[in-house]
Amino acid sequence: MKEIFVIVLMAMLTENFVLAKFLGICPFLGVSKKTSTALGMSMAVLFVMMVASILTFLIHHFALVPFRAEYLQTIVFILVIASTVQLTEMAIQKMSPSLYQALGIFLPLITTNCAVLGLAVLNIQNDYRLLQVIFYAIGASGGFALALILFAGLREKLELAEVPQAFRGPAIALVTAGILSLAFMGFTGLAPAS
Amino acid sequence: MFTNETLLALAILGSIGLVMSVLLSIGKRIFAVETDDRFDRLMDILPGANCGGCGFPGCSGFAQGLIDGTAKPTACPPGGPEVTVLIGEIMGVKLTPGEPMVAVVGCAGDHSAAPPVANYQGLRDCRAAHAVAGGAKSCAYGCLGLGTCQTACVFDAITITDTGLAIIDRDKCTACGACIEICPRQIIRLHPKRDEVHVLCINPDKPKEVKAVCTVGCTACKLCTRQSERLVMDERLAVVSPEVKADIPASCALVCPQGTIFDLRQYALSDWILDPAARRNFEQRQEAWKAEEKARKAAAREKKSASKAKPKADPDTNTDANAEPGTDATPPAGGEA
Repeated sequence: MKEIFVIVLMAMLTENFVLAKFLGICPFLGVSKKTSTALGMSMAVLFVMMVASILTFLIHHFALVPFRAEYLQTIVFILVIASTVQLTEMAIQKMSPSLYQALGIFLPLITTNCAVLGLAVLNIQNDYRLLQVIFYAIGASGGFALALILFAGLREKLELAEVPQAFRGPAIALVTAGILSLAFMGFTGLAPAS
Repeated sequence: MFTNETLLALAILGSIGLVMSVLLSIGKRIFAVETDDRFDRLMDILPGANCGGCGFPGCSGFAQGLIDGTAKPTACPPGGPEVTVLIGEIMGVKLTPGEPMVAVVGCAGDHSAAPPVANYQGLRDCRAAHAVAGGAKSCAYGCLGLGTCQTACVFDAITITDTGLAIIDRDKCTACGACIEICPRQIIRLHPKRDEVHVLCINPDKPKEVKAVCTVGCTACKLCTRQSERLVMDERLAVVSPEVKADIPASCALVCPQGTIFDLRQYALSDWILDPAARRNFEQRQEAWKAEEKARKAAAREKKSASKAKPKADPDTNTDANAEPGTDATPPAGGEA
């Protein structure tokens, strides 16, 4: 139980995928203009991460390891993730056309989202069992959601702030992301001694 | 060994790919989104100018509106009758296209006719100029000529003359209404394309005030309304009525003492606005017409008096009755000469 808690906390805060591992920066900057779309994107990533990490875990252990074909890891994982994203895209298009429109190009871009692939690879590297994999996925996507929504909230406030001409737009967004990342570094102290 | 490994890799990838594709095709069935093929067909026939003349955000918004039933199928001005008929075909209804319209700038008072009364140095935008004490033009209803409508027009139909007037190209204008919406003075209005005559003034002030600010403004003399029923008075302005169906004779324009009425059967609009020769030609024709009219009136008067005189004259002697028309007949002859 304690182990699971540590995994979730670690994935969310101390080793936050976006702000500490710098994975998934593309949607982090791209879909963070509005809190509502950020939330939608987070939910999509949560779903994709859950399904993809479970699937990749199973495929790795029951299809790659028995044949000693671990070297196929990357390409197989990408295949699985891409299919999962396609499925998610269809589901979102069916269930929430407005969210589908708001996410736009970033939805298919989850396909090549390094956060998802990174998660799948880390699952294997860390030798997690299925339960740990599930909670690591929850923690990772929770961390992604936390970073994305926090950042979207900041950017919404920035819209109203008087920003010097040279810093307007992406520049101030990157500066903000950097400061947010620094803030997350403060969680490092939480990490269990290993 | 090498081939075995390759085969194995291919087999693993292939089987995973197969499983995924089966999953995806099942998903496609479950999450099938019904798209209306009429949307794509409508997008194909719409002009694609995204002018907003229909009141919807762009052509795609209009197509969606048509499918949802919120848009009027006849609402696409740039498409004109052809597109309206095609929309009808796609939507499965029979449509009779509306009257083709054209936007007309209701002002002919250029810098010489309605000179600027102030030196405006602000933004080159009619809305800004209009906001500053009503613009620099003497006439508060006249075209400011700073080209705000020109930039609003996506069809490149509006030009601004050097004399500070907007001219709309009748052939390029699609009556989308973008210029009408943006003009701060509401000078541009839609008129049926079949109208041959336009009153190029919208100043509703008293005749004296109109004359004080512009030499080509409508002074509400009502002379034109006597020439054709199509011209009616709207308070202190002559307008071409869209309801009345009657011919507009050339005399409608010729009778106007101010030269406010533009007859496109006689002149091109750009000539009328820019070419002094057109104005001179108009004045000559006006003189000729006036003389003709005078002669005709005199002839009519003579006829009238003759017919009046006849019943009285009949009981009297024949010589008296003959003498009277003779004396009256001389002035028209002199007028014609």
